[in-house]
Amino acid sequence: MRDPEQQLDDFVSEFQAAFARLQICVETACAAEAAWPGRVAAAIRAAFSFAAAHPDDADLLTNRALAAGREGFERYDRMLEHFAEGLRAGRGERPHGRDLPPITDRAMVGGLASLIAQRLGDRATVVQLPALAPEAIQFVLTPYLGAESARELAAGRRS
Amino acid sequence: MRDQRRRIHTGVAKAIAGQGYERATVERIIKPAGVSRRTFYEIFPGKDDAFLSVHEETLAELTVRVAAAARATRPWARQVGAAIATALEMAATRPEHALLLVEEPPTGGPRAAYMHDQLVARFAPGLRLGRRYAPGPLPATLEQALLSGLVGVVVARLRAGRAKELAPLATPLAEFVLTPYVGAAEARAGASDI
Repeated sequence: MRDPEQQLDDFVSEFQAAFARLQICVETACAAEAAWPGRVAAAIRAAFSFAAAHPDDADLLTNRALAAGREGFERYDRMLEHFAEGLRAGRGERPHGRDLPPITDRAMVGGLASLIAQRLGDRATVVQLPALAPEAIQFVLTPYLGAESARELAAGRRS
Repeated sequence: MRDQRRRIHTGVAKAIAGQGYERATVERIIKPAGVSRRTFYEIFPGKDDAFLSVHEETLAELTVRVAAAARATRPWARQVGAAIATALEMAATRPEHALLLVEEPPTGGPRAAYMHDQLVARFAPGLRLGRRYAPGPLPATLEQALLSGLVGVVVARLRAGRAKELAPLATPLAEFVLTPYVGAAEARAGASDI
């Protein structure tokens, strides 16, 4: 049995590697989109597909991190903050974005992480994750763009 | 016995808030509780039972308080605001107990699934009532995403030892939760009543 310090070191290394893989996947998807709403939609689709294709990585980044005490939570929180920064970037260019409460971006990303994390325990729900992406896109974009535009973007009727 | 049980509950909450569930040993629970190992095992068969006991009690108390706050006002948007303000107040007053509500359970399975079952099942129905105000169809997973997002913001403050910042978050969090149902402008107006 590994000692707790070694377990923590291993967790940190594994977390960083999984986070790097997720970042590459998300940033590659975003690079193809010019406008902020399109980048957000691409990022969400990529993250949900990543979780479906790599459920162990996704589990490590969410459920296992949250079960790892303070150290795990701090890493989980930094990961969410990284993606929240991408949402924050869109505030200035969106009609409703400027006036949103400061917690909105972080809360949105936390909500998405939970949607994914909650489905990782069962193979049947893992494979359904990519199909949930349109709902997640609508959820995230609504405060920034308004309900109608968010629905259209989520349905792929505009970019 | 009742007092010792309460002290063990506090010890469980403190140990888990500090170390996480896995590393919160019985030794680490009884120290802040100020009870002997023997007393602990006289009351609980093990750590898992103590955890479940305090978890259930805390969740029940939160549910009762939130329901009472919501019942005391109208319309729906204000009820949501009152519920959020009450939950934040409880979390700020007893941060270790609040953190325990989102900890990994001893029953196995993904932690977030448990959180979903326990918290979302309790509070999603009240939020779902807001769908009647929405201008169009909303995502099926909306309530889970909103509640999880809200919980995440609270937990981040608690983990950082910033419980005092929670009360002022009632207005922005209510606005965050109300926006998908009633739109940004109405959500802002509704949340400002808190």
